[in-house]
Amino acid sequence: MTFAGDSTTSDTHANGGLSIPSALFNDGDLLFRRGRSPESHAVLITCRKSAYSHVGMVVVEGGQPWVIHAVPGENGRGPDFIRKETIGEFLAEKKASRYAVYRADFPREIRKRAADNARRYFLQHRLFDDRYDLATDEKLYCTELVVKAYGQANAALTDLGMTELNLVFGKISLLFPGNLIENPHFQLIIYH
Amino acid sequence: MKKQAILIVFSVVLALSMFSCGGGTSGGNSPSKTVEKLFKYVIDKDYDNAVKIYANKDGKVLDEEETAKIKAMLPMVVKVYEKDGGLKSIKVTKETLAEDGNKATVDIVQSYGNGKEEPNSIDLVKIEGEWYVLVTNNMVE
Repeated sequence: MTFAGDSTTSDTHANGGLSIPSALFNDGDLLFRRGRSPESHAVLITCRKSAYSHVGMVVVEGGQPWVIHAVPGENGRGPDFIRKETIGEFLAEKKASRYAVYRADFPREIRKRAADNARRYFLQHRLFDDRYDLATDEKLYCTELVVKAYGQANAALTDLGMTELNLVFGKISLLFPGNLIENPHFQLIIYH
Repeated sequence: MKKQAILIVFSVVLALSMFSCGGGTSGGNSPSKTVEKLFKYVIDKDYDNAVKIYANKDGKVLDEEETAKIKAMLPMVVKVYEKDGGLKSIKVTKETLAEDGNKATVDIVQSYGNGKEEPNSIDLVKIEGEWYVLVTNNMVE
């Protein structure tokens, strides 16, 4: 494992699941997880490009890292609002079996702005995009949140490989976590 | 009396055979009927049966992993079309059978809840006497 954090805190996050030192995280980092839900299984078997089924963006507040992410079905019977969780909650045992942290090669200022955008989506109560439509901003799915947060920080993630699902009666193009990992702007920091 | 009994037995057998033609879970006995069957399952969100109508790009019945992939993808693709009011019906406009009788193309028009109509052309393959819809998606390799 490789550590490349430059924050100052040294807390770890267990919560019965995987743990990562807080000091590792920077604003705008991407935290990928391999989930255990049926939805995660669906993502993993339709896109074999990576071992991860979900991604969130890290925002650091007073030295404390949080993850902002778009996910369905984690708000009980309530609307699927974009969530803000601690690292421990995000990587809780029932939700994650593996993780990886990636960092963009953009300047720190851009990464901070991307994190601010993600925080704004959370504060605006934007919803999970169950139609996986990159053309609309009102609702976002996990990878879309990352792309939009960086895009609106003037750091367009170009050359994003999309995965097309064509089932004859209809087709869609999706951006899977594996497509983000393949993007040359992101470098692996740590994984487990 | 004997003739009447034979007629009843014949009617029952005929009814049962008709039922099995329409209610099977794999491909159908004609390209058009197979396509109609797939769309009925998709519209009813009966993904367990819908997946059994697909064949892979090599013209073979899906294996276990391919089946799992398609089954996982089906609800994702269906959800996308909810913005058009959902897929409501199809109309077969043309059926073209290959010379060898083992491949076919069915042209259809798909109709959505918001009135939108979309033409589509679907390739099929015959495997052991049953028709299957060919899926050539790059994820099913």
